Amino acid sequence: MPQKASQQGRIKHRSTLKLDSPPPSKKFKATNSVMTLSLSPCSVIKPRNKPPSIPHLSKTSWPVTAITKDAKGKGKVTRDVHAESSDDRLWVDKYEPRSLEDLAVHKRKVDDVRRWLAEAFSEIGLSKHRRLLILSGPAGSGKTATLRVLAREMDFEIAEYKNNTNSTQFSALTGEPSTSDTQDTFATFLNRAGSYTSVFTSARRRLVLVEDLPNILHPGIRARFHDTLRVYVERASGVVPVIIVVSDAGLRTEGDSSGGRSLDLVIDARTVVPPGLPDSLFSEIRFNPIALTLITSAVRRVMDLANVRLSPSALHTIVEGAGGDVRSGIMTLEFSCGHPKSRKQSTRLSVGSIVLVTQREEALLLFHLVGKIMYNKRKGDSPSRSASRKDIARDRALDQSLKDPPPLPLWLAAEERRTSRVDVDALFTSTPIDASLFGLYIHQNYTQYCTNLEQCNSNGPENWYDANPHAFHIRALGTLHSLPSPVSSTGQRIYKPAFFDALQRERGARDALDYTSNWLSSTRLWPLVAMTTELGGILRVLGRRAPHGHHTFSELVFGRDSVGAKAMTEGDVEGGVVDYDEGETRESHYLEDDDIEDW
Amino acid sequence: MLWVDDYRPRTLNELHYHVRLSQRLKSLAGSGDFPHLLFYGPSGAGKKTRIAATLNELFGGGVEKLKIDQRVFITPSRKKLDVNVVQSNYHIELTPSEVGNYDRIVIQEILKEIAQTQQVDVSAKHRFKVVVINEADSLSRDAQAALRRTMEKYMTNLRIILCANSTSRLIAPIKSRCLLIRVAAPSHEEMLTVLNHVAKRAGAGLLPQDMADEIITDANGNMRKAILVFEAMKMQSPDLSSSPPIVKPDWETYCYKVGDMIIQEQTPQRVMEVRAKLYELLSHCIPPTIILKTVADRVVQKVDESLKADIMHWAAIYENRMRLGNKKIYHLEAWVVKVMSLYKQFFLGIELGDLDDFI
Repeated sequence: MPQKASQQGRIKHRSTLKLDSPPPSKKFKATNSVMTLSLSPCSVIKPRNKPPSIPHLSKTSWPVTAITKDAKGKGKVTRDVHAESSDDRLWVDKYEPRSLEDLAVHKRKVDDVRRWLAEAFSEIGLSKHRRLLILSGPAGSGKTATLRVLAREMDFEIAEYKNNTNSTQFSALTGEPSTSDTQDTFATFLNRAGSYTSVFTSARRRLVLVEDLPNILHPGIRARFHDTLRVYVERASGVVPVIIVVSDAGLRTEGDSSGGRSLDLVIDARTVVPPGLPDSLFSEIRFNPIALTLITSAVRRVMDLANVRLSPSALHTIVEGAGGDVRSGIMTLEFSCGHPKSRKQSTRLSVGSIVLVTQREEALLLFHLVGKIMYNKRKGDSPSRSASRKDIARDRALDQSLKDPPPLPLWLAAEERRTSRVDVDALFTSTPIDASLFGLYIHQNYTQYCTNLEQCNSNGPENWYDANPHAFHIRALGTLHSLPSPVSSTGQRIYKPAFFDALQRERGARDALDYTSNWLSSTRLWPLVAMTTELGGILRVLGRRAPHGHHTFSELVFGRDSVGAKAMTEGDVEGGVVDYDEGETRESHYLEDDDIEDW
Repeated sequence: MLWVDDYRPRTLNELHYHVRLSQRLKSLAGSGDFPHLLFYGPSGAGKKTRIAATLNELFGGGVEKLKIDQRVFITPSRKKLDVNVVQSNYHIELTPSEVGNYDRIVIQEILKEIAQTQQVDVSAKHRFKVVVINEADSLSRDAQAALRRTMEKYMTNLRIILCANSTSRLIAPIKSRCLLIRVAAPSHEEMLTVLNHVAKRAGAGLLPQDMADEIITDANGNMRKAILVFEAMKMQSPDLSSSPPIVKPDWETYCYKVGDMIIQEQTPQRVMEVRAKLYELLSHCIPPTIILKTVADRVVQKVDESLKADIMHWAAIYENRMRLGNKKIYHLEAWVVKVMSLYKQFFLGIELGDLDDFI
């Protein structure tokens, strides 16, 4: 193949553009690690439907030569890799959607993207304002897939930027990775991708896809990234549209402690776009988690292609478990169909094992958790007015699956309750917070849901203290037991505990006390209680001569309350609050931590 | 400087009341065999003044060369604790309960440090150093246990003086290792003497009798409070001719209003309102025990005779729980709900006995 040889020569020479072949997919990295060792920071990806002129490039197996070079360029390792027949790829890549029909994304979303692309590629009109597009959405919602399908349909070429982690240059003096290098590669890539076309291409139009972002959490790198983007986007002409794909980080889960603490640490559309860029210059299209029906059909399609069969219930479990993530759904399917070699036989799997495979540790939103407890649904509740028929049917099915407990003896008749629809064990496994914080939320909210005072009375949280391994269950069950059923709905809202606000102000007051104590005497320790309870009068008389900030503990005006609980919304994550609780409350004097169970 | 600090007696001889107690302390200090001491009594009775005076008797004027340090202790979980410590060459004074549950670490570290160092000053009257522990009754059990052990072990190098409001929260082994010294609240006449003395020294002229009576009644045996109020009055009207009315502290009126709220209405809605008030009190560093006590006092004044015992009974129970558990607000609120429900039941005429059975 003389043609190929010359290309490779050129690639080596320029060492910025490299042909990754055959499968231009981000998953490929994982399946065939040799490819990632490439020196070049970018790869030009060809649309999947290869023009007929070079069909053999991707369809047949042929030796790929990957060139590796260590950082200083001393040695060269050349390895021949026989890309095996595409069998070894994951199903997600192997059976990736090829046409609009296959795509599990909602048609309207696809239309949005297509319209944007059409405008961007048009010679006149809006193209000036269609230079930067952010595709955001949860993982597996088909952002990249949509682009690839559209690339095929609209006949354009995608040049994808890839970080090259292997060629990180260490500066000889400091031993630190020189960030400027990696950053420059992005700028270089953007410029070149904008100006040159791939040697293979027959497509007239191109766009630049940035999925593998540089480490923009680093302020310096982010600044440069923004600069590069801004300069590029604001250029007068000859600009190839740039599409940046941003996957939302899973902020909901407990493990992600960084979530919500600071906006800086979260990659979203706002961090990617250079600040101050006029709105007209970029657009964002948000992808939503994919609907169950769409995932079902996508999984079905893969099943057909891969020639496996599953019982409807197993399919249902897979789809449910995917949680709006097509990729996860297909992965589960592949995994549950067993070893690749033996997958020729159609496998039948028990639903149970699929549940094992698919179960995600997705935390229940705090909002829903508190709501579930507070609304205290019990067997035989009449459905709410807004409930759809499906909801009613589901409730009925649930009721049938619930077993009534044996009746209570006569002397406990007052404690008789209808069977609860709330599965406390399930709540416990999916709770995003620990029991003591849960207690605070319950405490903050339960009173609103009581219709008369007696229901507040034997309420769970008060009667047990924290040093109890079953605290969560006791609280949940105790609260459920005491709440009226059905709960009267009078437009209650769920509030965040006012506790933290109060605690913060208490700490402020404590600082003021320290200060006052120093002011009072340099050789004597004033008892705190005496300061808070006895000093008020004299401090007021002292007026301006009194120590600064003393009013935080000495002044209390009835009716001027600032402890207001904030209402919670569905979007709230517990991140910030939890950290606060774990880290800080322990310091406080009146809030002893769980050490108390030591004795 | 406030008068309370300025005109505080320095030696046992200067003390105005509890003369026999002063004599005993004096002879103890002179005997050469000085035990661990536990001073207890209501706040403002003069415990710390007596402790300081006793130290003065023991070691001489050197104990008045004081400096305040902030000591940092590190818990096993790498948490830093800052504790203010007052120190002289002969003694060290601290309030370990400042750090809440970590008080055991503070006690252990400090005592070990003191116990393992010998007095280097050859001219010192005694070989031991004294550790004064304030608010000993708020020490956790862990800390008390640690204290008990050290008291036996390091008797040669150190003596401990504990200062507490009541002995009921101290574990028996500690009580039995100390000489208990009760400092009772001063009587009306004794307080009057002290106030006149302060007035003379401050050059405030003669204190009018009715004004003094008013102050003393308001202070209710708390000498510190009386002097503070006196000074505030003096600031308001320098010639003491017109006596301005004594204003209750904000937190106290606040607590009374909370008590009234409980009596007025008994609904879940009201519970939430009361909760907001309780949070407000807590965030002003008013100790929860005092909140509970003050509110309960107020409620008891307003309710029927037959309810009073019950309300106090539950206040005691929840006060106890408050000490065992954390998150004071739970227990305060639980008590509020309990009282509301008792009050409501009372009006509905339901037998309270039935209710108690299953609670």
